[in-house]
Amino acid sequence: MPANSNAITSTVSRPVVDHVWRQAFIGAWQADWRERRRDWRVALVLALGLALATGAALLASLDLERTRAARTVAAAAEAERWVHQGSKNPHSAAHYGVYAFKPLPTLAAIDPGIEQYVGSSIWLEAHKQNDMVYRPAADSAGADRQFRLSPALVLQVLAPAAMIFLGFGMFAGERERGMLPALRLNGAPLGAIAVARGAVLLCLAMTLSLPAIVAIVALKWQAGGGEPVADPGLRALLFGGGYLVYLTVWAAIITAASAYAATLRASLALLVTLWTALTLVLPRAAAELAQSAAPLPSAQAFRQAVDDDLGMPDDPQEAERHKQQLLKQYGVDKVADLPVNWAGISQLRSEAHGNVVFDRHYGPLFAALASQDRAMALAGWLSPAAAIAGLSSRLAASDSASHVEFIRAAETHRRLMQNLLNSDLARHPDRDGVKYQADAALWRSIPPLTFGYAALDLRELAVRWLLPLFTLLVASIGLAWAALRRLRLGSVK
Amino acid sequence: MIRTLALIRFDLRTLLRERGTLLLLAAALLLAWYGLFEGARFQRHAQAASQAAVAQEATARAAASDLAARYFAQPDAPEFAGLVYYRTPVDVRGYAFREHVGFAVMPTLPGAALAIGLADIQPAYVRVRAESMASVRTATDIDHPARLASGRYDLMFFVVYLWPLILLTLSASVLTQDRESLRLRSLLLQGVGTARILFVQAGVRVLLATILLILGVAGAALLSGAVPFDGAGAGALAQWAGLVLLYSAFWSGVGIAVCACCANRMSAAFAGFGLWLLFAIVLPAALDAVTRIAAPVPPRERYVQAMRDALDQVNADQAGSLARFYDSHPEWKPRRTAPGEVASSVSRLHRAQETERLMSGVEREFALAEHARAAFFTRMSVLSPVSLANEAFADAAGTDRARHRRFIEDVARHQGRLRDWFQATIQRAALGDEQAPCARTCLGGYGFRDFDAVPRYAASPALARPAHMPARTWMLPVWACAFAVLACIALWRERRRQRC
Repeated sequence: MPANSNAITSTVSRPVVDHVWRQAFIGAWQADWRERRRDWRVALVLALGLALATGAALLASLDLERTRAARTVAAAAEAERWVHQGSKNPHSAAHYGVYAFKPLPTLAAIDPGIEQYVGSSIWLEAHKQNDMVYRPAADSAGADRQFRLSPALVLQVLAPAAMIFLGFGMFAGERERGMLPALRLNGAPLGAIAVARGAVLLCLAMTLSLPAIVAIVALKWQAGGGEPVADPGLRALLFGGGYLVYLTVWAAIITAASAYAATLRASLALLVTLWTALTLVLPRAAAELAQSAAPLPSAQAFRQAVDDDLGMPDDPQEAERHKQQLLKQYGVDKVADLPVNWAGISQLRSEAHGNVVFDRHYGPLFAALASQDRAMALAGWLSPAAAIAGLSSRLAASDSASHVEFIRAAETHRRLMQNLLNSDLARHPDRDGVKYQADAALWRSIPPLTFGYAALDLRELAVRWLLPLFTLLVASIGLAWAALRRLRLGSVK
Repeated sequence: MIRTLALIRFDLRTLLRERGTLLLLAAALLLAWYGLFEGARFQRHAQAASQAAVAQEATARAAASDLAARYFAQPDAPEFAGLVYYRTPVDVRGYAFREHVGFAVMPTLPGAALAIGLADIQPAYVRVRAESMASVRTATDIDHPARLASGRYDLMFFVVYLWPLILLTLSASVLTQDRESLRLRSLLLQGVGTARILFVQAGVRVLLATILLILGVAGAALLSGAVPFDGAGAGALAQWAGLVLLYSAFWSGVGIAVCACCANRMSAAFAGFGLWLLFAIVLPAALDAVTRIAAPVPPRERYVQAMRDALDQVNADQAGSLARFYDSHPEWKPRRTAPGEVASSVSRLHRAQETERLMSGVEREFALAEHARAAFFTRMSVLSPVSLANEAFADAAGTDRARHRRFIEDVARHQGRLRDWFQATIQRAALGDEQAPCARTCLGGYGFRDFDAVPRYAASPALARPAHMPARTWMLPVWACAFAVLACIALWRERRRQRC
């Protein structure tokens, strides 16, 4: 019997419940939307927010456009310079080297991430794995150490603040005005009202992302579709989705706080405290605490260790043994009589030794950076701002992992260059005391560095940022549900 | 006066009865101490790195002297069989371009732990090479870039951004609560004016909270050793405390204006948070944006290209420029070697100087652009009290941009001396070698053992002197007064409305 009654309930009452819910949702949406349209404070907050968002998007797109143009011109000039360097010994060309410039994807305009704080170019030369130099932050006046105006700042920090301004009275206002009994009595499900009001809040917050979207479209249109990433579509999709989830988390938090708080003031105080802790304090504190996860060496200690290890290019005794073996192999007594160039072979040996040393030192350094990345990402389980900041910079390829990816690619290219140059030198011995001179044919055989960021590691993305973000979404919706239940069943005071 | 004291006593007793106030102040102190801890940790690491650099320089010099003593006593010893001139300190060419280890260390001010400022992007020590300033200009210390991008959590961050929220929360109920509870009428009947209630209560709340913060931080800083327990440390703390008081005065002005204008605590909290958002985030961000638009800096990619062009030009005209060089330095002119035949290790410093000469226009252009941007930001920062405070705290701690620029200028002068010294030594060695060539490095030729004569960096005394409080800082009380005037106007209008 109970089974039958259940069946009757489910077949008959479900559509009725759904209908009531939908009607309540539409009614609450329309009422809230109407009220907000008439409210001058909403217009003021939105106007200010849009002005900032537009300014940020415009500045960011102009910055990116200018930087990309400068790097394209410089890269083309370097390629030209390399090919037209004239006839010279390949080892001189190896010391002449080339500069490589880091490419920037369009999404980096929205979230510049670490770009201001890392070098923009790297010199690829013989014997050295150079560091990237010329950080844009070194040329700034220090103003951007406070809050650099970017679409990411608007979306990660200012949009939730605007949502708090617009939403802290969502239910607290009714409770304070003594309208809660009326709200309970009107029969509309509180959940539907909450979802409708939360959705209105979300839509208002999403308007702040419009300038950024326009900037992206404009940049894409101007760039003609060429992106230095393997999966631009997926990145853009996840980027938009990530921010949608982030703002939804805030809509749910605001709903929960407003339904839970006894007064408007308490609701505002609670939300401001949460906003300050989650968007300002936690991400910074997490970045500081991550130092303990894997301490980084000082530049002095690192350089000293590399220099000490580099020492002599290779073991002189081993080099001597190799030389004797070659002399024996070619049946000659002197290096000058060898059909191969001992200098080239020696350079190959030297580079091989250097590569081992660089890997031995840069490997742990990059591993420590990655450990700190993982430690910082843990803050994403507590702070949606930390989660979205990590996700957004990863998708925009403006995070430290992408930077290291470029450094590794540049170093691989440097080693390829050195190998080709030294191998050519080794094949061409000096004749009659005249040093071998290579020409443009050899320079042309070494292509310029073409770099694209690898496709996203979806598992890493999911574990490190998406999972915390979705967990926070579920938790905030759970909190909102609990607060609404309290609103429905608890004291009207 | 008695009435005012009674008002203060009553207000403080009511305030302290609320558990929230005590919790808020306790949380503030904890956050401040954590900021101090992070600042001290950063400073400790920076100092350790600087000391390691100094130690490396001394060790390298001692090792070079030791090697030189052994080498010149017995150059044919087996240990020197594989010696190559460009990789040994006993040959002046190898020493000048590879083996010389020289660092310049910027002196730390006693209050450095109180504000990291720009110290994390401007290294406190740089390696100085004889050849060029490139190693100085591009020097960075190793730090996680995400930490630099998110900004540091230090005491300055707490004071500049979080402390105002605490002050606004503390002062939001002044007058507004009295208006809400209708107690204001009875207070007015006792002859206490609204202005007096507002200014006295808000002022005392902010002042006492600020004193508590200053004492809490100063005590922790001295006990933990973050600030040295001596006169200089006390001076740094006094300057920091003065800045905190000025900055708190500004936010107290904001709080007073908010309470004068708002009818209840809710609207005061709303307006307070709105103003905080405006002053703490929106204005500095807008100021940064305006600075970037009004004072653009040319892209560094152009600098790289100019440098490459200059190098190409120098390489193309090596013989000509060397001839000119020897014409202006006849005492170094080789007797038998034509300028085009001079070894590249002998002409290397001259080539570096030529490149620098060709780059001087571009260098000037970048320096001017950077200077113009900094000057514009400084001028405009009077419009943003939070930016003013930010700059002032960094100035007091010696972690600001201007001091670092002075340090780099100091290093540039030292680098010039170092290069000139090596230039003279190498040219004299080349002449000696030309007159009496030796198969392997020898004294009278390129042999070198005078390591103690190589110029060493000593920071100018001005760099070690504590900074004065910037004149612009006095704009903070001006801002506070402006808000106080606003509050007076609001109260006057309210009184007029009530009379009508």
